[in-house]
Amino acid sequence: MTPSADHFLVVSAILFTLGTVGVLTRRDPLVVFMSIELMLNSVNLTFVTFSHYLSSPDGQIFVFIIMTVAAAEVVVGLALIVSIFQTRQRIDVDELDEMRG
Amino acid sequence: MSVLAAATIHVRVGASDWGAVGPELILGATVLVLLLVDAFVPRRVREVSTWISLIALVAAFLDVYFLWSHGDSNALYGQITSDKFAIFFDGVIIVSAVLAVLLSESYIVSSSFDPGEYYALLLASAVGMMLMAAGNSLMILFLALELLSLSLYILAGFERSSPRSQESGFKYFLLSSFASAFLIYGMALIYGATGSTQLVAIGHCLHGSGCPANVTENPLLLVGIGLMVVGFAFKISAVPFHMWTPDVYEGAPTPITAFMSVTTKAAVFAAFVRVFNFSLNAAHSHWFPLLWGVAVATMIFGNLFALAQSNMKRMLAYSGVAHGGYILVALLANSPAGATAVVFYFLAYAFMNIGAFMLVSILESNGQVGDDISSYRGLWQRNPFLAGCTTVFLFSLAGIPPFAGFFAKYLALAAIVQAGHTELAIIAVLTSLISVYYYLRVVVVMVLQPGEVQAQETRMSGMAEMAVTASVAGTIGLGIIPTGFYNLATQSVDALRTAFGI
Amino acid sequence: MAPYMLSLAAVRISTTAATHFSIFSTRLTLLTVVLFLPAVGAVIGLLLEDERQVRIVSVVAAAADLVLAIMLLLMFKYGSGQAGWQFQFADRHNWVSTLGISYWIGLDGVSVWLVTLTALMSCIAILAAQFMIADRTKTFLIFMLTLETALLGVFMSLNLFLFFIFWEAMLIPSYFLLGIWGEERRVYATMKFLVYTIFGSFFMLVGIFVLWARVGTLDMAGPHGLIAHPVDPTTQNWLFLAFAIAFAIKLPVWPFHTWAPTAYTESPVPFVIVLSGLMSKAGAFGFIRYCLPLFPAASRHFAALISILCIIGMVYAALLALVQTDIKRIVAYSSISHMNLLCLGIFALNPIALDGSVLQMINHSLIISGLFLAVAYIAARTGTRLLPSMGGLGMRRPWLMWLFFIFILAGLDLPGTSSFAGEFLILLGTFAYNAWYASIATITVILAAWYMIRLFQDSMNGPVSVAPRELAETGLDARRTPYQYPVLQRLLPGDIQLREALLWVPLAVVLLYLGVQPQPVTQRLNPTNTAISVVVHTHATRGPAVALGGSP
Repeated sequence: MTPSADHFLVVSAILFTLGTVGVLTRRDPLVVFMSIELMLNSVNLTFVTFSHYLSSPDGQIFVFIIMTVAAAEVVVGLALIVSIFQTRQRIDVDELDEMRG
Repeated sequence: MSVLAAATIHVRVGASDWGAVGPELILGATVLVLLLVDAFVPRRVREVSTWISLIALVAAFLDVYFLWSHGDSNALYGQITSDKFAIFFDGVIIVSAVLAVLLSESYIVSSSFDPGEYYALLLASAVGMMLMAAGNSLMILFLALELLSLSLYILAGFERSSPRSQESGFKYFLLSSFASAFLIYGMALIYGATGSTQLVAIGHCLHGSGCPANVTENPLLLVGIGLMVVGFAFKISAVPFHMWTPDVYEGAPTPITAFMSVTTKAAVFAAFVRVFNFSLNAAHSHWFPLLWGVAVATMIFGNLFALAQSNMKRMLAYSGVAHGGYILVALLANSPAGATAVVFYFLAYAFMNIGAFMLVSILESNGQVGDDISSYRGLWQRNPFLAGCTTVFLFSLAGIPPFAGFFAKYLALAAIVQAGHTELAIIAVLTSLISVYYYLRVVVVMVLQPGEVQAQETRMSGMAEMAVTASVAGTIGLGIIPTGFYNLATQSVDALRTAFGI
Repeated sequence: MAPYMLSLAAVRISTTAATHFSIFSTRLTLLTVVLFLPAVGAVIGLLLEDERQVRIVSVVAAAADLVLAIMLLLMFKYGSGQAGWQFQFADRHNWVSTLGISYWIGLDGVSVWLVTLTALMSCIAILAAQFMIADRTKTFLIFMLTLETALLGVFMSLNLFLFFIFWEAMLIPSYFLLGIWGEERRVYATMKFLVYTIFGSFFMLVGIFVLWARVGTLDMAGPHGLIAHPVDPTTQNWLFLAFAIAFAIKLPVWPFHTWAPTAYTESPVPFVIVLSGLMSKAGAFGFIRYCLPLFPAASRHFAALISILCIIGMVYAALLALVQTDIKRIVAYSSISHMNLLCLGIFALNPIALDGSVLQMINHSLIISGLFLAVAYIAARTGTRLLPSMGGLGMRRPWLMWLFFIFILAGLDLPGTSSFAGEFLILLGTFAYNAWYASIATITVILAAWYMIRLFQDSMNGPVSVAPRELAETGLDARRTPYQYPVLQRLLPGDIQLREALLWVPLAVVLLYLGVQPQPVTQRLNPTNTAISVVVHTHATRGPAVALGGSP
C-alpha cells in the first residue's frame, strides 16, 4: 500500500496532539520543552507532505526555517533553564509562582 | 523525484531589495556593532552603547521617512514588502524603541545591566517586529515572530539576580513557543489548502483564481485559520490566552515591559491585519465568529481582572489585554476604516502606554518601589511633572478626550458601527467604563491622597525627562490634531488595498 | 396662529458670517476668542511661577471673557425678520473631514444666553476662589479656567464630535476640583460623579457612531447636516435613549440623580457654583439642542416618559430638601428639584415651555449660586452647616440676612423675581401639553416655598444658638479657609464682608432685573425655540401639533 497524503497528515496531527498533551501535563521544564519540539517537528512533517503533494518548494524551505529557529530556541531555552537552575536547584513548572494576582 | 530539482531558481537580489529593508538593515548592523563594542570597549565607557543605539534608531527613522515618500516596493521576490502599511508600523516601532532606550539609560545603571547586550537584544527584537510588519509571506512572518520573541525571552529574564525576572523570561519562553507551534501548524494547513505561503497569492486563491472552487470551505483551511487565531491570540494576549501576560510583564525589567507591551502587539497586529483582513478576507465569515468571541471575552475579562490589581505593572498588563480587545474590534470591522483604526491605535498606544510605564521605571531607577500603586501617595507633591504626565497617560488610556487614546478608540468603534456591529461598540464602551475606574484609582492615589511629609525625592535623568515629555506631547498632540497622522494611516491602508486588490 | 405649525422647509437653518479680526495675520473670530480665552489664561497660568500673578491672570481672563460674551449678546441679531433658526458668529474649519468631524462653532438664541451665563458664573466662581481657596490656589484657578473653556465649547459646538470632546473635557478639571479641594468624602464623591457621567456619555458616543454611520456627517446645521436629515423612527428611539441618558445624568433627572447630592455637598464652593449652576445646564441644553431636533419622532414618543420621571424627581427632591438638616444638602436637593421642573418644560415640546425652561436655566444658575454662597457664608460664621444648631444669625447681621432673603425669595418663585416668569412659562406650556403634569408640578412650587422659608427661618431668625457642638477643634489645617472646612479658631465674626457681598450683588441685580424685564431674554430665545418646536412636530407620525400661541 502506498501511503497517501492523508496518512502523513494524520500522523503529523497525532504527533502534534501528543506534543500539546505533553506541554499541558508534564511538570519538568525539559520535558515540556521536548514536547514543544515534538510539535514543531510534526509541523515539519505536515509541510513536507504538502510540499510533495502540491509540487511546491515553499513547504520545504519553510521546514528549513523551522529547523533553524527550533535550534535557536533550544539555545535560548536551555540557557534560561540553566540560569534558573543556578538559583533554585530544582525546577518544577508548578513552582514558578513568584508572582500572583 | 525531488520537487526542488525540477525548478532551477535563480536568486537575484539587487539594490532595490536591500533598499526596501533599509531600516531593518541599519538596526541589524547596529546589533552586531553593539556586540563588538561590548566585547572590545573598556567597561567604563560602555554608556556609548546608549548613544549608538539612539543614533541607529534615528538613522532608521530617517530611512523610514525616506521610504514613505519613495513609494511601495517589494523585496526578495515579494517575501518582504515595504508598503506604506509596513513603513507606518516601522515608524511606530522605532519611536517606541527610542522611548524605551531613553527610559533604559538610568534603569540600566541602577540595575547594573550590561548595556551592550541589552541594547543589542532590544534592537534585534525591533528588527523582528519591523520584519513582521513587512512580512508578505507566512515564512517571513514566522521568522520575524521568532526573532522578536527570542530576543524578548532573554530581555524578560535579563535581571539574572531576580527570581521574578527569571521566572518571567522562562514563562514567556515556554508559553510563547507553545503558541508559535500552533501558529505554524495553522500556517502549514493554510499552505496545504491554498498551495502557497505568499499572502497575496493566498488572497487571490481564496478569491477564486487558480484554486479549486469551494476552497474557502476546505476543512484544512478552516482548521488552519482556527490554529492561526489561537497563535496570534496568544501573542497579543487575548483572553483566554492571556495568562502569561501579567506574570511576564511584572517580572521583566520595566523599560522592557513598556517596550514589549506596545511593540509586540503592534507587530503581531500588523500581521494580523495583513493576514486576516486582506489575505484571508474571502474567508471572513469563518474567522469572524471566532474572533468576535475572543474580542468580547478579551474586553470583558481584561478589564475585570485589571480591576483587582494593586500592582501597577499587573494592572497595566491587564489593561493591555483589554486594549487588545478594542483593537480586535477594529480588526473585526474588516474594512479599510477598521484597518486604519488599528494603525492609528498603535501610534496613540505607543505614546500613552509606554508613558504609563515610565512612572514605574523612573521610580525603580531611583531605587524605590515602583509597581505598588499605594506607594504613589503624594507623588503630586513630590514630583508634580511626573504625576501630571502620568495622569495624562492614564486619562488617555481610559479614552477620555481630548487625548490620543480617545481618538484611537473613536476610530475603532466608528469603524465597527459602520460595519453594522453596534453590539461590539456597546460592549466596548461598557467595558471602558470599568477601565475608567481602575485608571483613575491610580490618579486618586497619586494626586488626591497626600503622602508622608518626609518622602524620598524622585529624580529623573535627562533622558527619562525627554521620554516623558515626548510621550506626553504625543498623547496630547495626537488627541487634538489627529488629522495629519490619520491621513497617513489611511494612506498606509490604501497601500495594502492596492497590493491585495481589495 | 402658531408660527411653528409651518413645515420644516420654512425653518431656515442658516449660519451668518462671523465677526473676525486679525492677530498676527491669523483670522480669529470673536466667538473663537471667547471660547479659548480662558484656556489661554490657563496656559499662561501654568507657565507662571508666582501665585499672585496667576490670580491676576485668572481674573483678567475671566473678566475679559465676560465682557466679550456680553458683546456677543448685544451683537446677536434677533427680531421678527429672523424667523429661522440662525447660528450667528459661526466659525468653521475642517478637522478630520473624512469622518465628518469639523471645528464648527456658532450661537443660536438659546446658546447665546448660556455662553454669557457661563462667562458670568465662571467669573463669579473665579473671584470666589480668590479668597475661599488657600491651598494650591494656582492649580485651582488653572482648572477653573480650563473648565470654563470646556463649558463654553459645549454651548458653542455645531459639530457633534466637537461637542462630545468638550462635553468630556469638562470632566477632567471637575475631577480634580472636586477630588483635591472637596470636603471629607471627596474621593467617594468624585468617583461616583465621574463613573456616572462617563457611563452616560459613553452611550452617547455609541449614538454618535450610529449617526455618523447613517447620515455620514457630524455637522449639525447646513443642508447636509444632521438636523436636516433625521434617521428612521426606530433608530431614533434607540439614539434618543443613548443621548438622553447622558443628558439626564448631567441634569440630573430622577432616577439618575444619586451622584448629585454627594457631589454638590462635597464640592468646594467655587466649583459647586459651576457644577450646579452651569454643568447641569449643559444637560438641559443637550436635550434642547440635540435630543429634540435630531430625534423629533423619538422626542414625541418619549416625552411622556421623561415628563413622568421629571415629575417624580421634582417632588422627590423637594420632599428630601424638606427633611435635610445640612443646609448645603437642602440647597443641593432644591437644585435637583428645580432642574427636574425645568426638564419637564423642555419635554412639553412647545415654544412657550421651552422659553420658560431656558429662562429658568438662567434664573436657576443665579439663584443656586447665590444660595451655595450663602451656605458658605453661614458656615464660615457658625462653624456648622446643620440647621438645628444655628439660629438668630440675622440678629446682628442685617446685610447677610437681607441679601440672603433676596435669593430665598427668588428660590420660592415669588412674583417679581425672574424665576416667577420662568416657572410660569414652564407651567403654562406644560398645561397645554398635559394638564395633569402641570398640576402636579405646581405642588413643587408650594414645597419649594416651604423648604426655602424653613432654611431662612431656622438659620436667620429664632434664638441665637450657642457654640455648635460638632465643630472640629482638632486637625486644624492651616491651608484651609473657613469657607472650606470651618474650624472654631478661624470663624468669621460679624456681618457680611465686602468681598462676599461683591459676589452676591451682581447675581441679585441680574435676578431682579430679569424679574422686571424678562422680555430681552425671551425675545432672543423665541425664534430658536419656535424653530426647534417646528422641527420636533414636523416629522409627525401621529397626532397634530399642540395648538398654542406663539410668543408670550
